[in-house]
Amino acid sequence: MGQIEWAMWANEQALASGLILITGGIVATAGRFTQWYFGAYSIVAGVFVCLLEYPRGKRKKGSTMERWGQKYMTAVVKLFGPFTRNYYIRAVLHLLLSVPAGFLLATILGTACLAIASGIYLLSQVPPAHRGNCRPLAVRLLVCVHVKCAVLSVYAFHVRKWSSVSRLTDLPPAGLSFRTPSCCQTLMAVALFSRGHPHAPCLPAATHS
Amino acid sequence: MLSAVTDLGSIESTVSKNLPVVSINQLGLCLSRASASVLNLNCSLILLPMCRTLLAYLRGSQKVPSRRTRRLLDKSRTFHITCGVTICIFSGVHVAAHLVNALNFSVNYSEDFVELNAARYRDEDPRKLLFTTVPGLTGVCMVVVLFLMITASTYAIRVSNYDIFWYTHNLFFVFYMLLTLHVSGGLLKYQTNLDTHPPGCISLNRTSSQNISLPEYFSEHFHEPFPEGFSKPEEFTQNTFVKICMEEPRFQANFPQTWLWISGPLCLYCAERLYRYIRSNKPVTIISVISHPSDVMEIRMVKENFKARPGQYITLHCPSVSALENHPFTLTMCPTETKATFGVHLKIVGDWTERFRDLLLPPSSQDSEILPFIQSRNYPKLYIDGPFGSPFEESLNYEVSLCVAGGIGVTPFASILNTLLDDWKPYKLRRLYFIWVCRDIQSFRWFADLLCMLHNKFWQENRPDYVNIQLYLSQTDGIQKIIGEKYHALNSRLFIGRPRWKLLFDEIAKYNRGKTVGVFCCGPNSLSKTLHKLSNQINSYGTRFEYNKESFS
Repeated sequence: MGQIEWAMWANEQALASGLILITGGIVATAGRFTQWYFGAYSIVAGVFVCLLEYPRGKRKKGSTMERWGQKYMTAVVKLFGPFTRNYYIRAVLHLLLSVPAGFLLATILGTACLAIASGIYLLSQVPPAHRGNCRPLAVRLLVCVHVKCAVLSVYAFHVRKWSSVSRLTDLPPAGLSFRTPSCCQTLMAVALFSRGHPHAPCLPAATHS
Repeated sequence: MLSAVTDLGSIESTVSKNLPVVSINQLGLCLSRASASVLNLNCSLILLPMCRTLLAYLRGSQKVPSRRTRRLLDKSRTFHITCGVTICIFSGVHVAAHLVNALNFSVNYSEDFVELNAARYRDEDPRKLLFTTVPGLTGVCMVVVLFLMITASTYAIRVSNYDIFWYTHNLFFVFYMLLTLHVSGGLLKYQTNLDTHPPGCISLNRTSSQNISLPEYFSEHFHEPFPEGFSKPEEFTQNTFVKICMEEPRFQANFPQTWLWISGPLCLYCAERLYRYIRSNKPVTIISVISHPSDVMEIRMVKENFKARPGQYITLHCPSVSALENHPFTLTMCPTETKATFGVHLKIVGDWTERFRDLLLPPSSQDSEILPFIQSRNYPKLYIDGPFGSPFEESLNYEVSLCVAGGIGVTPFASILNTLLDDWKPYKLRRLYFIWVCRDIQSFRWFADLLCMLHNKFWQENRPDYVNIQLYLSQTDGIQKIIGEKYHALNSRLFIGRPRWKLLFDEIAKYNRGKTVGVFCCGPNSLSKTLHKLSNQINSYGTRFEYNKESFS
């Protein structure tokens, strides 16, 4: 179990989430939903994520199957140096990108998928020695799915406070009430996938992978 | 596709009968129902290719006499992948359509027909509809599960990290449970009292302004032909025959069709898994472990009531090595009526096989050929599941077969050769061309004894042309050009360099004019592609080459 390279899976997930964001954004903008500008943002964020994730990273052991035509994007991605090479930064970036899309119904699935991808990137940074004592993956994934549903219903509870769709046109106050769900998600993802007590999640320093 | 189109058409005509729904939703509802019916079909079909024991039974039974039908079974994995991709695409359509529906239900809330609305009041936030109703919440969870499964099922992940693919794919059970709950929400309803409240009837306690606006309402929304004889809206307005509503419309939820679609295959699959679990619960007895050159290990074992046909494969499960992993290996020796021993050859590649070898063969004696007998008491427990069918079983059913093996890919053909050594007369096969390409000359020693014995047997029985053996050494360092002193027959059939396939195919076509030759290949993808292309080319001798493909990973 400790030899699985999670980053490769996270890469596939992020690419798929980018496509989901683009699709959701198109549905939102074309359908002229209220607050359709979130849809426009979602298209832009989706395109950015797709371009960033298109080059498949090199595996630690064994040969890497390159995607068709990825060398052009690799040259661009390499220009940013450590910002794109480091998977911690990538995980945080994906999480931040996914949050604004969560406000609109059409793009909410893109948010969920990109947040999962960011969680898996974080997991890939945990060294294999620490992973050995984790619960089996199937159990963790099930728990993650249930936690995600729980968090989403908490989010729904926040939404219930609004009595009509028209209130969505006012931008929410920059308070903690809307950031909490995504913060909860991060903390839960970190707690689930790292070893040790949730109170003291011990993550190693950022390493080049 | 066909089911989507027929469903779309039937839904359009149904929608035209139910006026109020038309006012709330049109395209979104049609698209979501059509994609749902495609999803029903695919979710039920996708399980069938995974019932491997059933497929192995069908392959071997007399109930499938036609070779063409048996060749369809070779494509079971491709069929499974096609269904998976279809589910993915149509889930996207379904989700998009429902998102539009959710918005429409809340914006176009109709006070007249409260029961038909998914929203509870006008302008209800569509996100609330999504997360606080059973269909909405299960739908979101299903999309997340599907997302995890599909991203882990890509070819790159399967080839590099099979574990991720295997563990996430087992989430399918969660998916099916959520699907069962998803359709129980009762969102779609039909009217139960159509006779007392037909569509388009006029309610006496409504205001007169509503009555007057009805004809315009009809002409706007009725695009389809009217049911039961009305052909044009104008005719309806001109016709003085107007129905009066006797009572308020009553609606009842449709029975969830999905339960009917998925219950059969799901029960079949669960029954098969249970059968396989019971069958594989008893461990095998390892008779001997033999170490071969070039990192290959042979294990011979017995198990009671184990029957297998040549060409089939089994999966090995060794809890001492890994509690969760199963690995497939082709049988190189099948149990016969006289001998109950069967065996597999494993190439040591990857961590599972390395740990397995360390358990069976202590490091000190790994260089020697045969293990001392005293070690047999310390063998770990080994469980097998299978046997499962493969296209290579078909090689005994052609009159002429061409079997090409690359490296360790010789294992399925080894079981065929062992069977021929036992008794060749019951089978249809009358000529076998066996071509084995290896990089290292020591690899030929895995089956050198078997090949020599087979060659001698056919010479003794005066059938020297039954098996034509050609061995190719694709990479040579020039030092060793013979396999071993005692293998005369093989040394004379050893060629240096890669085979020239076009010449080989021409030669086989010339000596087997007008016949159908079965081509079987077990080796790298490039080899497989070359042979497939050559098999499809027409030759001047009238010989047909049928390529049988096995897909791995």
